[in-house]
Amino acid sequence: MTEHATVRVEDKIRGYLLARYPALQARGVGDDDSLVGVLDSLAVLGLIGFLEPQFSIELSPADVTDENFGSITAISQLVARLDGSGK
Amino acid sequence: MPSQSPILVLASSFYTEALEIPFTQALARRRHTHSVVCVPYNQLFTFLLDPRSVIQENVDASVVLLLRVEDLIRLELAQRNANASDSTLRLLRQRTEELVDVLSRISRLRLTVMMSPSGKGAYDVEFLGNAPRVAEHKILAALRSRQRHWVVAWSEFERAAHPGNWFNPAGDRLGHVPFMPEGLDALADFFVGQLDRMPSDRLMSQSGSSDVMDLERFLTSLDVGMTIAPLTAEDEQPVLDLIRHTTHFVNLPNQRWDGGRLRPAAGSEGWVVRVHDRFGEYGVSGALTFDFESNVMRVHLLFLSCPVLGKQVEYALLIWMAQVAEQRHAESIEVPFVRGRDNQGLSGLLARLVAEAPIGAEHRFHLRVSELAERVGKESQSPAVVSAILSKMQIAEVTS
Repeated sequence: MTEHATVRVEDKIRGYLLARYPALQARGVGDDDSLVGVLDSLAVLGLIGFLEPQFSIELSPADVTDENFGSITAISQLVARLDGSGK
Repeated sequence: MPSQSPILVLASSFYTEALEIPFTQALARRRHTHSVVCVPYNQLFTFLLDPRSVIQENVDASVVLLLRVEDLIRLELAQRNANASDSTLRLLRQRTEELVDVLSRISRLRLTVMMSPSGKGAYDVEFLGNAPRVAEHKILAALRSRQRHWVVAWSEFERAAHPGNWFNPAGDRLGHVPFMPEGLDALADFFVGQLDRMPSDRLMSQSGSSDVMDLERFLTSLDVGMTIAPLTAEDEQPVLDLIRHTTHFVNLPNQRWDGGRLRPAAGSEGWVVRVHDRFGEYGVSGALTFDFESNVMRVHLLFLSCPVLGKQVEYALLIWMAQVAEQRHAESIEVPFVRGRDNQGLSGLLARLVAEAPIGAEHRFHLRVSELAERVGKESQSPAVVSAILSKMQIAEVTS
């Protein structure tokens, strides 16, 4: 995945989170800010519902871990792995 | 006696708890004093036939029931192979018949019901042709014929709600939540906006026996049968497929099982549970592996699939475990348990069977063999049905 594409993925994820969770708008959310305690399991399912069609990927149950959804960076790395553009 | 706040009971054929916060927030926005109670989806039939399992006496309760036909065969859709179209179709018809039977037996509740359209979730249902539509029609016709429920058309919801991205195939596949958060919010806003139109019931103490009778009659009419047989090589793959999709009645959820881990090691045993009732065969429906160490029966894996839960086989299985333990002179049964999102039903049941429930996300239940059968009998919705299942249960010879 190129640097440019990584930024786009992260911005799209941030855009989704900010639109969905107004509380985040006030304080903002950086790439490496922890999302633990921000996203519960239902919120993660909603986010996956956004990610899959947006990036043409399909997650398996094993992908749904705290580690993979711990920050915007972690989520974008997961997207990169699943769409074949990452390591 | 001061009256309690009314409740809004949410029931569905999917992961109902996903609706709890959206409905709670929608109620608060409209300044309703209702509190929200969710019915776990594997207890749906029990609730419909015995509302007392969720609703206290003398509390005004409105019940919203959201149904989706493909949830009746969700497990089969998830496991579907290309050659199984006929059997999946047959199962859809069987499960529809069972649901219609349950709906026709409801004597206390008046429901507000909406059918979510099929084909919007994780699984392809096109191969079923018009069968899902036929099933929807049968279910809605059964509800309307009772002239006591309020059936809301999906189109009515669509007209009232702002257009949006409501469906979530990924959420359906990974967590049995078929709606996006905005879809859940839209549903909550719609129904809470209709609260004044919804039928509401108050269960009075004198009606208790009739509720129990509804459930008892239904369970008896099912004529449930259970077979327990040693795990064979042919059983391994069906069992592994089933564990992958079992989240409620399972002691170790979200773990990677393979043939090697499942296959009983020397000195241990594996057993497979099959269930049938008058609606048809459920096939491989669960499994149990265990060994013995001194006077303890140590369970490794214990699970039953959702379609058979509530039919009392869960209680019959626990009593069978007690009988096996007793035959082998074990004094206790040790069940390791890891808490998942959905397996509180099993932990709750096990906790009620022990004198002191362990705490924490990972622990071991120690069940006393001498008192287990009696305690399990008290927990079941119908001890008579549990006895009937056990008395006709086909069990391969237990070898020591």
